[in-house]
Amino acid sequence: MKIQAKPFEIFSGTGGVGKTTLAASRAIHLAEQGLSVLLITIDPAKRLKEVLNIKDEDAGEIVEIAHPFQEGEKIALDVELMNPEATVKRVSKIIGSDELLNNRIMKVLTKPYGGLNEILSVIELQMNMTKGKYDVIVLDTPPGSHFLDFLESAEKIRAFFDQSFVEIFTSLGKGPGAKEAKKGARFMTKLVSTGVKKLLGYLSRVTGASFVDDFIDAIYIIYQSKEVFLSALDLQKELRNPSKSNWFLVTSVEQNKIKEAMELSEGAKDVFKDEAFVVLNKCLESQLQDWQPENDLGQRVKDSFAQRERRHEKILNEKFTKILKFSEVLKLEPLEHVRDLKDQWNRYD
Amino acid sequence: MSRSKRLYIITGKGGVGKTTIALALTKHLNSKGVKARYLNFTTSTLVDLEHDIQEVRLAKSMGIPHCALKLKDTAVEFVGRKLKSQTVGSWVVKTPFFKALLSMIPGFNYLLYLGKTLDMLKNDPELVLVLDSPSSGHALTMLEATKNFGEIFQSGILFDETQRMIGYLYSDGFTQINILSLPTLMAANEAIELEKELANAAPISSKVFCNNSFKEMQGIDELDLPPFLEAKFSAEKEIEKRLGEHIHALIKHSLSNEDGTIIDDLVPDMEKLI
Repeated sequence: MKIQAKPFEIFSGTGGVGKTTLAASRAIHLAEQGLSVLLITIDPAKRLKEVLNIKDEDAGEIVEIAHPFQEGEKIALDVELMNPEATVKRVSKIIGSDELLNNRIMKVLTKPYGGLNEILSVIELQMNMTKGKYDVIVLDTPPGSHFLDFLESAEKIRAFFDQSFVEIFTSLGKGPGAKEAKKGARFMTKLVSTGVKKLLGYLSRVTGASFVDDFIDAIYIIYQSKEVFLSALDLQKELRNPSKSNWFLVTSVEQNKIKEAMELSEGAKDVFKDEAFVVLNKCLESQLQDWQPENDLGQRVKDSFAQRERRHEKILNEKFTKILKFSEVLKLEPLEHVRDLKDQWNRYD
Repeated sequence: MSRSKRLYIITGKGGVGKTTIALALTKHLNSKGVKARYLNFTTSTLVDLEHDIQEVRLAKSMGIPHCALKLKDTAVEFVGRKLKSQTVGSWVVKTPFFKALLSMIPGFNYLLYLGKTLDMLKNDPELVLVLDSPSSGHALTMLEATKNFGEIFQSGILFDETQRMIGYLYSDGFTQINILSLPTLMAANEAIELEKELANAAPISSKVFCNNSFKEMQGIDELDLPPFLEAKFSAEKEIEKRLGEHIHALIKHSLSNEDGTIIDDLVPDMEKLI
């Protein structure tokens, strides 16, 4: 099987299957072939930092790695650990206002596990795409359902700006909402406003009034940066275009999580179509074949390993045609793992 | 036999075996006569799932007492109780504004879940809960939620609630965090990093366990090991040498490939986690 490099290569899967090391190995493999590569991780666990030895303070910035393994080699690539705060700073620059940075609640929203994480990742990707500097952007996504959040975030942005808050801004007499509402029926607006007042009243009782005010301000500031957020919708199209994107669903024989992986692929049906690749990671097949156990316990260990591998393959074969098998890497240091996996990609050139 | 805590939080990076261990620990506590229940904060969205999640199906099939909280129900109950009307609660939760609040503010969902969890523990003094917690970073967000929200809200019902939660969670002998790791350097480093971060976030005792240990399997040292197992073994020894002092205990690798039998296999090992 041959895998042709595409402008976007996206790695997803449940936690702990080796997404990060595989994504890094793929990026370095492509860089080795002379392609201009950017590797981004939007996984807040940031394991990539450990693998490629990147410092915490570099998060949110593009770091040039001149030689991932040793000095003198000719493999250069760019790497970025996604940091929501850094993305917000870039958005602020574009819209020419510091408001995004100064609001108390915005600071909370842009914490690493804040609700804007996935949405800001899409914007960050979009900004890097428009630079036109890279042949390939390799993406390491957050595990499990957080990956689905990432996939749906462009849709969420659209929904958000379509209707959610216009009514609240209207009721409070703020800019865009007030304008848009004038176009509609005045009677309806009145009805909505009464509802909004009631809601805000209830919420103040639960969360405290100053919080509700600050939150509305934060949302309003985001609303004013509408154009930047909506531009991320373009990316959505690229990611779903098979000639532009390679999708990799990563699973591992080490875990009993094949059901979860299949559920994940069901949840993201529109990207895991026939063209998608499935990586079965940490296979022991060849090592097991060479082993002739001398006693009963040895045989049980061997059978146990062989059985779980066969079972994974069987389930994957029922649904996918493009299955890539990667052997377990028996090296201690993370960087050695990446180097070994990088060479395993040779089989698919 | 050690006396159990009221709340066990089982966390660690993805794929370390949180669900398996949480279910095995629940089963072990039950076998000692403790009224323990497996707890899962099922969803992070307000959408109702049509079917049980995998974890709940497993608990059901094994007859392990369990409780899967759903975000929408928990939110409606909480808001409804505070406003003294479930109808109003359900209306507030349905509004786009509240949905945005819940999905955008980090840890807001966890705050509601934790509140509900503590209510359950308060209402039944016999009850012990084993929480199959979100993975590493999210666990941190969850535990920081009580503190952060005190700062965010500053006043109101939720503020009082956070103060009440902190009182419970931090009280002596109430909560224990068990961080799971695997016998790889990356997993061990992440677990130890998490232990430090948790210690900064909350004054709750936490312990690191290495799951899936080959060394801990009975009779394995008499085996003539093939190269790949030899490599796994020496990796474990190297990790022990470098990080051994941070690791509280090992949990053995199970040779079974079925979730149910793996859990049964590990139950006798669970006393270490109490």
